[in-house]
Amino acid sequence: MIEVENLVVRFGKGKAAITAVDSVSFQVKGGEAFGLVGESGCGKTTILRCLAGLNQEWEGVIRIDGKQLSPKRERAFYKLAQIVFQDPYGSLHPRFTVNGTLMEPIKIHGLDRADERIDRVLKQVGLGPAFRFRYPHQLSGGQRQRVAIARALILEPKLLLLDEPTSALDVSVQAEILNLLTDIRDSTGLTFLLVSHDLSVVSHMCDRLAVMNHGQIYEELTVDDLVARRYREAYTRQLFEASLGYDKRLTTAQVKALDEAGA
Amino acid sequence: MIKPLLEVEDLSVTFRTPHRMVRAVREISFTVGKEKVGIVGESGSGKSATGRAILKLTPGNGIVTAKRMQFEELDLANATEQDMLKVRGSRIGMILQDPKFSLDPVMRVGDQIAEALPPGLDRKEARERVLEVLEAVQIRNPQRVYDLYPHECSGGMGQRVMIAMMLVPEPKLLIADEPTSALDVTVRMQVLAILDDLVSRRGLGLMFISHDLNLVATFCDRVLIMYAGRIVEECKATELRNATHPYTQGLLASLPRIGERRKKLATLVRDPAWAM
Repeated sequence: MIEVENLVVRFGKGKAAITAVDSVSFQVKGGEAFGLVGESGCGKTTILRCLAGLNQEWEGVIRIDGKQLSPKRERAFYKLAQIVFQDPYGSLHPRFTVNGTLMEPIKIHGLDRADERIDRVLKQVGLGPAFRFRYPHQLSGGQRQRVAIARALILEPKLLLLDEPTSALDVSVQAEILNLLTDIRDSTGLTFLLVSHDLSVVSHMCDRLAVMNHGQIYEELTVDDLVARRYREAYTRQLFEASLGYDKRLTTAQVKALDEAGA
Repeated sequence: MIKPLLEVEDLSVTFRTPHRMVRAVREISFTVGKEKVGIVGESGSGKSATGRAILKLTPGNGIVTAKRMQFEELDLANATEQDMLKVRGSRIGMILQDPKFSLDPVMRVGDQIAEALPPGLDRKEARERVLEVLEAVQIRNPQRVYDLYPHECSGGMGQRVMIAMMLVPEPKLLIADEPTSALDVTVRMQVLAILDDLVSRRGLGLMFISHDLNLVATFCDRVLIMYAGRIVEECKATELRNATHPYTQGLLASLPRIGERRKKLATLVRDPAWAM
């Protein structure tokens, strides 16, 4: 479904240029759930934005569903791949009702049976028809994220790009949204690319993952390998141990190691 | 038994809004000794309002009442604003979530820390003292960091600067409101290690406010779980897994965990009785 080869993204010019994504390659099969994990600034979201066509300055090869993509996308592309953003408070237009938000892609793509599509997609994300004419400020964070997912699903894409879809939510709401995404994947066979800093979320949702740092993929492994601690990179171990919780012994050792590395 | 640093009895915080009264904290009682006490809850549970009420930093539309709020020999419940000026920072310190917003953007971090020093030191002495505290929070090159502006610090460095600033007056109690939530996991662990070390070496009391159950369970000594303005459960951090309140159990079950492959996560079914 996704093939990325030697993707390079640079921001800025001349001396101030930084390489946000440094020749990254990976593949995701149809129907698979693949995670991109790393800390802030590692380039994971930038990769997602390149795939979604939101970032048009990149070099390398991106193929989605077998077709090689140019930085600028055709309208048809957006029926294939859709994105859900991190912040449900920022990603919905505050002066559009849920109906308005969901109508937009229908109009752009000139689809028929708008009412039927909207009712169906709202049901799919667990919101009743009563939500159709509400504004974002009348919804809770979890409900907004459901609307954002509905907006992505209404074009019936084959690929869903998820950028930290639950990191702005409380844990109990996170569980509901993750369950919803699991249900959607079961019923539609969608391919997921999930970007997250949270190893436990990725290990819950995905089959395989890539660990990123400094714009590079350090390591690609299956979730089973991760759980069994069959990682090769010290950085993966560090992330893994940090996500298990606080451990005085380990942390003190790490602080020393980092200090010696001059961090 | 050793007397705790802070004793709170029946603390309530109520906010007036144009439409109704919101009872953010409802008659909670707890103590903090020379230990790490975690206060956990979801957004709106009243955990931050509790931390602020102790320092009397509740916004103007809030009403704070308490039967008793005792910090060492001082009666916080009846303390005046004048009294509080002598307490805030010097005896009770506070660390907030995001160093980007708590530091002055146009002042070198070293000079900001120096503001917390007692008056009367000359420039050289002040600088020496600041360099010492920067070293105490494991900043390796304090000379360089002294002259940085906040935007030149990484998140972890900024938070260490905040902690350093709080430590200068040697407070007895630190209230840390989500001090590591804005940090990356690996940096988060380093900041926690520093806090942990300070608590055990200087005999501080730490009130650690967080939404992260897993973190609190592994970092703190004791945990208070808040829901709808009440403390619904209190337990030793190591025993959080065996918590008995259905809300705590529900929260724990809704967390995804590495190595626990469940098709579905348990979702929380809220019982209106918990908020009674």
